[in-house]
Amino acid sequence: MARVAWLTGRRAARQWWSTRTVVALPLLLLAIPGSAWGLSDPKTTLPADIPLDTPMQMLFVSSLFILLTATLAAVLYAWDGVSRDRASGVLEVHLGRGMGRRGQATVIAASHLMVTTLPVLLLAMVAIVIIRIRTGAWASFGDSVVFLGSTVLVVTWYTAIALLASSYARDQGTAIAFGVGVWFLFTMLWLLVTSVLAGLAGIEVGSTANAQWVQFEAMVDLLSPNGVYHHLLELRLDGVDRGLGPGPVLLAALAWTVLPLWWFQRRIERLAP
Amino acid sequence: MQVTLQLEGVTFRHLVPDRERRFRRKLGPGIHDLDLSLGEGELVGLVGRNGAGKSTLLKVMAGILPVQHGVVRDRKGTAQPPEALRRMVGHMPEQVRWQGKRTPLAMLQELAVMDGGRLDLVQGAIRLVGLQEQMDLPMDALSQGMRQRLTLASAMLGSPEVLLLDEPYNGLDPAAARSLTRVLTRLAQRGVSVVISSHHLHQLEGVVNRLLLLDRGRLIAQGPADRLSDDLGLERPWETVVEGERPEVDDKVEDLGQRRWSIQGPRMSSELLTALEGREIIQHGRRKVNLADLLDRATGGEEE
Repeated sequence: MARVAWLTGRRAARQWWSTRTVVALPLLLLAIPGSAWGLSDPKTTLPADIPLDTPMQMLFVSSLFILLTATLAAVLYAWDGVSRDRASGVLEVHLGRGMGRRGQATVIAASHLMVTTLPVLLLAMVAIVIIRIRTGAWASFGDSVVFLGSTVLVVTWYTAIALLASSYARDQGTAIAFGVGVWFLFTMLWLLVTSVLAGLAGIEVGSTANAQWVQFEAMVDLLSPNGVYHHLLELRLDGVDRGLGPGPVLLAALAWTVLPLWWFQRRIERLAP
Repeated sequence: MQVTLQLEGVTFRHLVPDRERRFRRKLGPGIHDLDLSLGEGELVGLVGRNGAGKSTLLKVMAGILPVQHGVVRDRKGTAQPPEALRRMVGHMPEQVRWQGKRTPLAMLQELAVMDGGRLDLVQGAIRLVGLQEQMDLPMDALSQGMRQRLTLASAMLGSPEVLLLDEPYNGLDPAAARSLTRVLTRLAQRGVSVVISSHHLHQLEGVVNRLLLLDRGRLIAQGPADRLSDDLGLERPWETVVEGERPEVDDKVEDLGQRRWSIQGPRMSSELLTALEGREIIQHGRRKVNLADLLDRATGGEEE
């Protein structure tokens, strides 16, 4: 255990002090404390009458910016988490050591999680403080825990997916295509996927007044990490009901957390370098 | 000789894409039903054409690839799983491209921790491969030869009983290659079993005690190089290399350039000496065993 912790810390520190941080950190600063600063301005109004009355509503809207940047940062750090070492032959050296493959998979996953979740968590806390300073109101303890916890989870999911994709890629080009492709699918294209599926199911697309569409979209969202993230945050919002109780949402969050990490571990255990 | 590692009927086949069924994979090349034993302090050369299964065999022996059929036994005759093999075997893969700002020292420390935390062994491994002056440089700044040395140091960490080296001479200058040979000989004298894979037989000349001839995943012959060629009935004519004017002899003369000539055929005799008068004799002996000839003869001249 001590050796896993030592290697994880060392690897995470190395990743943090890489040039990738020069790209990721400004994005995260702009998106998390920056959006909290803008959204907590009393003069801010949003289109479609999206309310910004409570700290939780502000945090919920700022989650859109988190989805765009924190997940991108996760992919930025993890897209070549396995493929780079595999292509260079270093993975073969690692897999030939006395340490078991399960331990090595843990080190790879934990170090990548550490390097993205810790800064995101810290900046999300700063966002809560900024909202307090600007509006004079704290987000409740429950709201804060759900916001911070689900933000860490969505970064975890993207990291695990990017690592998994990286472990299947045999060259750097495929690795980056997998990593960015997955991010693009869930962040940019998911509404299109949902609309196509709804169209195939004979459901009228796009009207928020159509309960059937709203519920269908909510269900399809369970298949996307971004969707589950929003479902989790919506659990703390008043007046939001998309026809799904907390049960399926929590179950989906659990599945998104456990399955990719388990799959990644299994992949490393069976990987032929 | 005490056996340190023994393979009995070991098979491993890679999975390759099945062209007839999309998204399916089928069993491809690998090693088949291989029996092999390594003696304590033995230096063994593993030779074969590209794709013969040399690297796969080394990876199986190193516990990196699993044994699909058969068994690998340790010196006590106990069957060992891959985890146990990784602890007793040091493996140097072919052409590792170490990169990044990390130093060789930091890299080896990490690998030592992966092996169980013997950080005190790192300095010894660095000294053994002669990387003292480069140990604090970023790995990006290392030459290919230095990277080879780093890979070798990583294989030597943890004082393994068996050392498996995949094309270790690639990228090494002649001085580094000689120093590597010295290190390996010293390790063998200390009882470490060393397997060196190569597709250039001349690199193993005078280094190994025994050759393993691998073809299409099967061990087709083994033994000392000279004995192998004799057993396979390979002709090794006498060769005389001279410098000076082109020799006037009846035998086949090959121009080696720079006024050097190779005469293939006769053993040294007074007639030959007379014919070579005025020229400097550089070398005289039996022609060296050639891997291509050896493989052609062992496989009946079949092409890959």
